[in-house]
Parts: sequence; C-alpha cells; structure tokens
Amino acid sequence: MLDPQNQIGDSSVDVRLGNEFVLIRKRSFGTLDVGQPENIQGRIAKYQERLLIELRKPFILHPNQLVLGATLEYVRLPNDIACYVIGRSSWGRLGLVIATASAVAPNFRGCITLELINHGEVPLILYPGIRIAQLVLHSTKGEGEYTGRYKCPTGPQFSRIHEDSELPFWCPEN
Amino acid sequence: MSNPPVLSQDLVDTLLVDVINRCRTIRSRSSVLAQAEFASENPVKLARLIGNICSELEPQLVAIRDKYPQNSNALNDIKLIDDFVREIGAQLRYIDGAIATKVPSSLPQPLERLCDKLLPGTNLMLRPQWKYNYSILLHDLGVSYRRELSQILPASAVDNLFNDFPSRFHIISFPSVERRTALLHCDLAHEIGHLIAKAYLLYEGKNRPYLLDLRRKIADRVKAEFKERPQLIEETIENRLLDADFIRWRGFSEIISDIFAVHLFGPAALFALFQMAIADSLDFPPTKETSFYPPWRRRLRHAIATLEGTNLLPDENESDVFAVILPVQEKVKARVDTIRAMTISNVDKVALEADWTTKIAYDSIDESIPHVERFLHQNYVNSFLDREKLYQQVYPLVERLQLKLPPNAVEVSPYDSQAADLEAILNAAWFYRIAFLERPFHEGKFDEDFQSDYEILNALTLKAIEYSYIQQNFNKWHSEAK
Repeated sequence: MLDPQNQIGDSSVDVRLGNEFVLIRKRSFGTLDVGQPENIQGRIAKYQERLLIELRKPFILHPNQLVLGATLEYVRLPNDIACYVIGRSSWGRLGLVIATASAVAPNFRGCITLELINHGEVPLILYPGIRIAQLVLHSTKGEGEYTGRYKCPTGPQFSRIHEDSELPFWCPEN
Repeated sequence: MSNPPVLSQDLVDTLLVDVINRCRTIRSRSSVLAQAEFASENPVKLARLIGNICSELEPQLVAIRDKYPQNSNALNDIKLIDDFVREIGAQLRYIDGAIATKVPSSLPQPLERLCDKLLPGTNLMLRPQWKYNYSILLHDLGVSYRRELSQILPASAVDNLFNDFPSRFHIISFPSVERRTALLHCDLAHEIGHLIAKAYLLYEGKNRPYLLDLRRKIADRVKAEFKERPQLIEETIENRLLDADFIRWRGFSEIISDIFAVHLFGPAALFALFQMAIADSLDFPPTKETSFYPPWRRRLRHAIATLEGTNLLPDENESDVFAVILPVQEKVKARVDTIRAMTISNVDKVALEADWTTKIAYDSIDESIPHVERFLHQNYVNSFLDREKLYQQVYPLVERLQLKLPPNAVEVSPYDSQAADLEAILNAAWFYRIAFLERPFHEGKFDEDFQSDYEILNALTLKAIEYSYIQQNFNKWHSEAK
C-alpha cells in the first residue's frame, strides 16, 4: 500500500486504480452469447482490447461506457476474511460505478478486476493511481483454498463465464 | 561542353513527388504513433523527432529542385535525402514496437533510470523484436541522425530539431515471444553492459598495448610459417592482425558485458545467461558465420568467475531466520556448482584453439580481464550490487513469492514497508524459481501446474518491478510535499 495512513479507514480500505484496462470492441461482434462458449473463448482477443496507460496520464471514460480496470494494489485475503469492493462516494456522486460484481472470496490473491461504468452525463477523466474504490472486509467462518477462476491476476481479467460447467444444460446449442 | 543532365526536369519532379509523399506519410504516421500509449516518454520523443525531421526536409527538397539542372549535384542531393527518409521511415517500427501493450510495461522506466545512473544522460527505448535475441543498437540514434542531417540542413536547423531530444539515445530489444518472461529480462543488463564494453574498448584503444603484444605473437608465428615465402610475411601479418583484433573485439564485447551484468544483477545475471546458454551450442567456436561470437561456455566461465569474486552468492552460514533460506541456499548452490562444473570442461578451448589467430585473440582477452575489472571498479563501483543490501531484501521477497505475492517490498506491516530494489526483485525471482519451481515433469508428463506457477512467477515479478518503482516515486513525492 502506498499510503496506509490515508488508505486504511475505520471500516474500509481504499484501493487505487491500476493502469491496465480492457475495452470492449463493440464493432467486432453483434451479440455475446454465453451459450456458445467456444465462440467466446476462441474470439476473446477480438472482443477485448487491452490498453496500458502510463501512470499519471489520463484515461477518459465516456457516459455509459463499460471498461474493465483493476486495482493497482495486489490484494491477499486470508482464509477467514472476504471483502466487497464498492465505489467511493466521491466518485459515485460523479456518476462512476465501480464493480458491478463486487464480492471477493477468502484466500483470493491478485489485483481485483473493477468493472467501471460512467452513469454520468459527461466524460470522466480517470488517472491511474488515484484512490478509486474501497474494500469492506468481513470475517468468515470455515477454511478452504480459493477455488475461483482468476488465479493471481496482476491486471484486469476478461470474463470466463464460458467455463460454467452447467452452461450446456441451460444454453442448449442452436 | 558541359555534361547533359542525367534526368530531365520532369523526371526529377516525378522523383520529388515520391520523396515528398514519403516525408508526408512518415510525418503523419509518426504523429499518430506519438498519440499511442507508451510506458515511458522516450518513444514519443523519437516519434516527434522523426515527424519534425520530415517537416524540415520537405522545403529543403523543393529548394534543391529549384537548383536543378544548373546544379548537377542536385539529383544526388535529392537521392541522399530520400535514402535518409526511407531509413527513418523504417525506424518507425521501433516506436510502434514500444507501445505499452507490446513491452513488459513495468520495465522501461526502471531501466531508463538504471541506465541514466550508470551513464548519465543516456536514454533507452525498449522494444520487442521478432528475432529471438536480446540486443542493443550501440550507435547513438541522435548522433546518427545529426550526421546525416548536417549534410542536408543548415546547422541551426539541425540544432533546433534536437532541442527536445535526449542526448545519447539507444534502442534496446528483447525477443517478442518472451515479453512476459521477467526472469530472462535480466539479460537486458548484459545489453546495457555493451555500452560499458564500448566505453572500455574505446579507453583501451587509446594506447592499445595489447595490439603490440598481438602483433609480436602473430609475427612470430607467421615468420615461422612463411620462412620459405618471405615476400608474403608482412601482408600476412597485417591481415592476421586485423582478424585477431576483430575476433578479440567481438569476443571481448560479449565477455565484458557479461562481467558487467554480473556486477549489476549478481546471481540473477548468471542464471539468465545460463538459461540462454543451455538452449544453444556451448562450444561453437568464433567463426565468420557467427560474426565471431564467443562460445557460451567461455562466457559462463568468465561470468561465474566474476560472481565468485563478488561474494554475492548465498552464504552457507547465513542465519535461518527465514524458513526459505535453507532450500534457497541448497538449490542455488547446486545450480552454481552445475554451472561451475560445466565451465571446467575444456571443449570450447580446444575448438577455439584449432585456429591459432583465434587462440592468440582469446589469450589476449584472458590477459586483459584484470584491466577490465580495474576499469569497472574505477568507474562504476557505486552501481555494483551490494551484498548486504541484496541479502537484506532477497529472503523476505522469496517468502512473498511463496505466498503468491509480488516481491515488491520488504514489509513488516503496511506502515513499515521498504520498496525493494530492482536487483533484489530479480534475484528473489530467480532464487524462488531454482529452489521451488524445478519439477516441470511428473511421472513423465508435463505438469501444467508448473507452467501455471511459472507464468504466475513471471507476472508477479513484473508487477513487483512496477509497484516498487511507483512506491519509490510516491514516497519521494510524499516526503518532499510535507
């Protein structure tokens, strides 16, 4: 943590925006059908575009645009702590929503992917390195290893929804 | 009667259209490239310089055209400019390659800082190459451009172009396929070492005592061989001397770079060199076909001798405060023993000594190593890796890797955290790999978990380099802001 004095609050820990982003290439596909997993897996490079911004340089998030970012910090949760990632109210008041899928399981290690959406009326200029979100920590009972899909990520990770094992049942092939 | 013009005015104008078009295309592309996302400022500076050069050259072309055919050199001048324009147009590929997503983006700024510390005012631009090789362009790009432009533009115009361009600018390249292999990027220390090797060979070249010795040995040999044909002796001596000097320079450049890399990065440099060596032939002698590249075994021999002289290897008597120390000591020692055993073999020497000119050249290298060490100590000792500093950091960093954390800091608590040095991060990564990640095959099958762990190790190392650099800069800003 760069600045624990300011980042560690009474009930949460502020995290910063990393400098790697995943943009969705809307022009490349008409629909995203999770029922065709080989489609997503095979064409992931076509769906997403990775962008690396030099730290302290601006990244512009337009109204209604969704991008994936990640925390600058690499987080490690012990086996009895989970957390939720929520936005900072300062940013929320500007229309920035952080993390549509916000729970982080115990034992997780890595940079947390942030789903960033601008619900405001004007483009927002974000700067990698700024405090963008907060982790609210909860103690949990029981023990176990992290069994999630995203192992030790150091940047934003695109969805791996196609790895859901019961998709063939719920999404029969056309 | 004067010679008729080579081409008619119309044809010269046709050529000019193409050259001006090239200038404008390059200017446009460099302008687009300057807007791209890079991991440091140097690619933008180069893009802007190339664009500005093309802007300056266009009116110059028109001015030259106006002098033709009265000025019969005009056509040559146009072609001279065109050659240069094509060359700098081709070099846009360096800038394109330096885009942040194409390089290990955490490396450029720490490398630039390292290089500036070693050779103040020297700038690097990191870029991938498709050829499987780490390399550095030893010529200063700015100097090369200036030399060409001074034949074309007035001095004031040339100076203007270089106002915002750093002095001493070098392109340093890595194999594209290894972009995310942090551990092999220790070889970049060897490439930076080429700048140091160049400095040494220039310094040595001023007096050249070694040349007298080469000449004497070659003369003795040639005189004995050509006793019956004395008329060939002098010429043969000169030719052999040229060959020996080149072979020596070529081999010495690599060996000095290795020695310097070891002084800079310690064991990590040796392990990265070894990893490259075992992928190649260890004993191939220097030949015309390989541009007289020295045998890998020879390079390893010098590198390990340097390392053993630096006291940078783990000490068997180190305290066992950290649980990782014993396995690291054991495995790293085993690896070093393996490398040492390989260098005891004389296969490379036998191959090399098959040609007596090469033998004389390499004997001269061996005799000159103490001078190199003296030179490096006199000029760069402050940049050498310090044992105490390394071992204060490396074991806690290895522990972090065991916990799948980036080895970016020695951290007692969030409030008590020391950003790790680049050298310590790289050594921790190598120690971890050697001590804990050496079982890629299990019961004859490739272990995918090993592969996953190796990818994670490289990713965590790159992340650590990035975070440590940010932390150092932030801390500096924070303390100055108070």
